[in-house]
Order: sequence, then structure tokens, then C-alpha cells
Amino acid sequence: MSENGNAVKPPALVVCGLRKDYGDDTVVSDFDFEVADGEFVTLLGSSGSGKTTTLMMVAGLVEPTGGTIEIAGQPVTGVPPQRRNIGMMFQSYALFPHLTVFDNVAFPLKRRRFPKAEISKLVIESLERMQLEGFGHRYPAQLSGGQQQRVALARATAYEPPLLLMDEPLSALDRNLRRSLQDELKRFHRTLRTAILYVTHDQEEALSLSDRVILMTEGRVAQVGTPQEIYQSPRSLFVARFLGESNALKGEVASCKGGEAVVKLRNGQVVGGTCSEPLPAGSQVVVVIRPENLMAEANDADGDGIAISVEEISFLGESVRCRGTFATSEPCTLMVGPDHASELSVGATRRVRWEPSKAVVLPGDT
Amino acid sequence: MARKLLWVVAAIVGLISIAPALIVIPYAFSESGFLDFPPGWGGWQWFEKVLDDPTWGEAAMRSLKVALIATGIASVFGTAAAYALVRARPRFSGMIVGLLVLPMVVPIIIFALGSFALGSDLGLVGSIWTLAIAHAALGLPFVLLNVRASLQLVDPSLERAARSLGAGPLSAFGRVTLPLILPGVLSGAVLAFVLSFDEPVVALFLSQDTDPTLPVKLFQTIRLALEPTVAAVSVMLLILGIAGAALWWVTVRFGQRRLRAAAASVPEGV
Ligand SMILES: Nc1ncnc2c1ncn2[C@@H]1O[C@H](COP(=O)(O)OP(=O)(O)OP(=O)(O)O)[C@@H](O)[C@H]1O
Ligand SMILES: [Mg+2]
Repeated sequence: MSENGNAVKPPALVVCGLRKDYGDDTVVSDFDFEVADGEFVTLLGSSGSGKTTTLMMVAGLVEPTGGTIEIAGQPVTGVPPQRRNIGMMFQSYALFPHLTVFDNVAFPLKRRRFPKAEISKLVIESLERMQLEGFGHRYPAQLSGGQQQRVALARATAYEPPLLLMDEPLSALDRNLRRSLQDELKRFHRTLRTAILYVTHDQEEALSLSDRVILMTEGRVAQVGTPQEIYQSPRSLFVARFLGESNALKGEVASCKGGEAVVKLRNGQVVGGTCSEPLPAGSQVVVVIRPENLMAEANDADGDGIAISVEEISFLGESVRCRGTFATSEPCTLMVGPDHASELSVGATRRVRWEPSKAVVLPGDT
Repeated sequence: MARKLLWVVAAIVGLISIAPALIVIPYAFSESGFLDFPPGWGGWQWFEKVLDDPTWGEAAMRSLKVALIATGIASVFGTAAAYALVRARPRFSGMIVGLLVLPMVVPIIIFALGSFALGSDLGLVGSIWTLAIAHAALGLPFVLLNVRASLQLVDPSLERAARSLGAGPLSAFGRVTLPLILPGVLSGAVLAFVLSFDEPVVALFLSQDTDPTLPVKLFQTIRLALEPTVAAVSVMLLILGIAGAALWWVTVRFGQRRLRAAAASVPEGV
């Protein structure tokens, strides 16, 4: 990066070999990642996977057992939180209840000893950006959940930190409000281009907001990539299962070359898929296909595809979900557009096909 | 009907609890030099006598000094202890609380005797500082318990937020946590103050006969003769006490409102 000269800013965050032990419990280990300047990166993982701990270590509120952290090119080992110049948003928003909205937003500016005139200018600008004009004199208790979130965001960004940390800022809200605040957050990120490290256990939220997603499990990285990469090319069964729904068909590699694998399923049928690494013939694998990539057709057609028996059909509005069982007696889920729904009926037998490029063959047998 | 009964019971209980305090009022205006019944009307003479005698004023000042020092020590250490217990959650926190609250449960005479033994071993009996420290130990439980209760209502992430926003550890405590627990600190401090200001037993052991605190002076005077001056002092203290109670009520009211606001600012579902 540095050879490009001064045009490129250092990454907002570089984490290297991060580790945290609580007594004998290792909560985070071998954790490496980067957040580029202006990038929106999400730590996604189930409860207890170490997301908050990682964020707290970046903020300096929890001391790492090992590893290094750099913020905007500066190593911050041993630097106390108040000197790391980061913005942070908490799940509970952590607005100061005894201060007005204005004083909440002014708090970080006062700590940085900005001149008084500049403080009120920046606070007013910040409140305007969050569409909170006229709320300056209110107390946090007099605001709605969405307004409180915007105050927290205004407070964390009033001093334009190079890095913004957010720990599940939307998880306490109801679904509709969450949607609209996600949109707002996206717009905010587009206009400000502050690097954001975001924590959530909601996969939909992670996929829709982020430039890149870091999927965590038990304190380690399971996979890093853009939402599309992670969703379409999971590199392990864990990732495939964690993100969205998927169909899993166990089998044995018949042949594998050039990233294309042919797999013999348990019922003897042979299907195709893609693989990211060469797989030895005869090894146990699982073919993973997303429900929306399965195409259903009448069972009379001979040729490729495997039979399913349809057991349940539910209408979801923009699509129809159908559950059933593959001929291999493994469970099957498919999603079709409402136009195709008429072809399915409970109790019927149908045949499903998929493009081999849309199926991922992963080593393992569970 | 039940409501009326409740009022009657409340009135009786109230009367019983303040009657001993009110009964001294007529004697403060007594005609004769003894606590005779009926006291008659002797005007303000006993008040004048108290105000003319400098030793009463000195005793009151001494008590005030002791109580202020004791309150200061109890407030600072009680708040610090409560903070450590609630935020750091040490392993034996229940036991530590029990230990710190001990002066509240140990019979006062035992506590006084212990303080005296310790103080005389160290050659510290007779100093108002020694008495203030002993009183601080008595007042600390009130601060500790009050502050602990308010601290448990304060979201710990507020202080973390303050740190992330650029405040050092002391500044984060002073600007965010302290204002939110201040009502608890204040009501604990008021209780510690009152406790020290009219505490006679420990004071009797730890002060010299020649410079007593106010409660000790009252006790000395009663022992010599039952003069209406004692009643006059009591009336003055009663008035101060009522003023103090009013102040306490105001802080509690204020505190409740603030804590309720703090609780309400956490979004629903958390
Ligand atoms: N102070 C602590 N002492 C001991 N263990 C801790 C401490 N803080 C966290 N842990 C443990 O570390 C693990 C990771 O916790 P963390 O809060 O980082 O999870 P998370 O991914 O944020 O989960 P969630 O989605 O539920 O917020 C958990 O198993 C937790 O019990
Ligand atoms: Mg968490």
C-alpha cells in the first residue's frame, strides 16, 4: 500500500494475532483482519462467539492477552481508550441520561478541548445531519428509540473519528424500525465514508449492510469475504449452514477436475457442483445448494436432477417456499416464484435440477 | 372505612414516635429552674441562658466539625467501596459488605469501648479527628448501602461510552457516574451526618470532659441538674432536625426523578 505514496490512507484498522483468555477459557484466538479506510466490515457470529470481546479490545476497554492492533496506522497497544480516537455505539446506546441531547453530542468535543464556538457549530451540524434539529434541549428519556439511536450516532461521529465501532446497535428494536434504521445507516456510511466495524448476530443485517463480512465461530474466523462470496461460495459446512437456508446432499467424489466435481449421492445418482480445492476421488463430501437455486419440474422428464416428494408449501408473498424430501431421504427446501407455485402440490413427486455452478461441493460428511 | 382506620393507625404511630421529642417543647419555656409539671410560661429565658453560655456554642461547633469530617470520610470511602463492589464484583463481595456494615449491628457500647481501647493504645483519645474517624466507621454503612442501590441502576456501559468518547477514568466517573448516583451519595451522607451529630456514647468515650460534643454536654448537664436549658437546646435541635429532614426529602425526591429518567432512557426490550 505504501508504495502508492500518500494518496492512499492507511487501513482504519489492522488486527494481528489477537487473542483473549479469561482464565483457562480462550474467547478469541488467531484473529487477523483489516478494515480499509471507509470500509464497512461486519463481525457476524452466534451468541458467545467473541464479537463483543473483539470490539472491546479494539476500543481498549478490554485488554488483549496477545496480538497487536493498529488504528489508522498507529499501534495502540497500551493506549487507553480515551486516546484511541474511535467512535463507539453501544447496544443500549449508552446516552448520558442526565445530559441533554446537545450536551451528549458535545461531550466528546469538550473532552477534546475544542473551543466553545466550534463545539456548538459541530454539534449543530451533527444534529442536522441526523435530522435531529430542534431536539438539542431534550433529555434522552424524551426520545423514541430511533431518535436515541441517531443521537448516539451523532455523538460517536461529531469528532469525525477514523473508525466507528458498533455493537448490535439495532438489536433492541422491532423489525420495521430496524429496517428503516439499516437504510439510514447505509446512507450515513455512503455520505461520511467513515470506516465501520459492526457487530451483529443477524445474518440478514450483515449481508445487507456490509462491504465485507467476517464470520466468526468460537473466537476464530470461519470465513471472510463480500456478502455475495460468503453466501454463494461458503468454504465450510458451518458457513453454509450459518448463512441462510441450504440443502445438503451427502455423497462421494466420483471425479474432480478444474473446479468441477461429480458426486455420487447416497441413492447412486450422480450430480455436479463446483469445488474450490481439489478433492480426491472417493472422499466424503456434501453438495450444498441454496433453496432458490433449485429448479422444480415435472417428474416425467428423464435425464438429470433428482426426485423429491413435496410435503409442505408456504406462501411468503414475493416467493413460495416448499419443503420436502429428496430421493436420498435427505430434507429438501426450495424457493420458487409465485408463478411456479402451481406446479407444486402437497404429496406430489417432482424432479429438481440445478446449475452445477450454483452448487458447492464441500469436504466433510456431517 | 379501611382508609379511615389506616389514617387513625398512622396518626397514633406518628404521635408515639414524635411525642418524646415534642414533650420537651413546653419545658423549654418553663417558669421554674426545674423540670416541674405543669411548666408554666417563663418566656425565652432558657434560650437566652443557652446562647449566653459560650460552652454550649463551643460544644455545638465541635459536634458540627466532627460530623462534617465524619460525613466527608464516610461519603468518600463508602462511595468508593460501593463502586468497587458493584463494578468489579470481587469474589467475596457479600462477605465484604457484611464486614463493612458491622458497625451498624454491633452494640454501640461495644463499638465505643473498642474505639476507646484502640484510641488509648495509640494515644489518640481526645482528638476530634479520632472521634470523627470512629463516627465515619458508623456512618459508612449508610453511604455504602445507599450508593450501592443507586449504582446498581446505572448502566455500566455509560462509563465505557464516556471512555470511548475521550474521557479518562476519573473524568468518566466524575461526569457520568457520579451525577447519576449523587442522590444516593447525598442521602447516605445526610444519614451519616445526623448519626454523628447526635451520637453520645462513642463521643463520651473518645472526648475529654473539658471539651465535649453537644450530645455529651447535654448528658453532662442532665447528670448535674434537670435544668430547662436542656429542653431549650433540644428545641433548637428539633428545629434543625426538621430542616434537615426536609432537605433529605428533597434530595430523595430529586433523586427518584433522576433515576427514573435514567431507567427510562434505556430503549425497550433491553
Ligand atoms: N469478563 C469475562 N469473564 C469471563 N468470560 C467472559 C467475560 N466476558 C465475556 N466472556 C466470555 O467470552 C465469550 C464471548 O463473549 P462475547 O460477549 O464476546 O460474545 P458475543 O459474540 O458478543 O455474544 P453476543 O452475541 O451474545 O453478544 C462468552 O463465552 C463469554 O461467556
Ligand atoms: Mg455481544
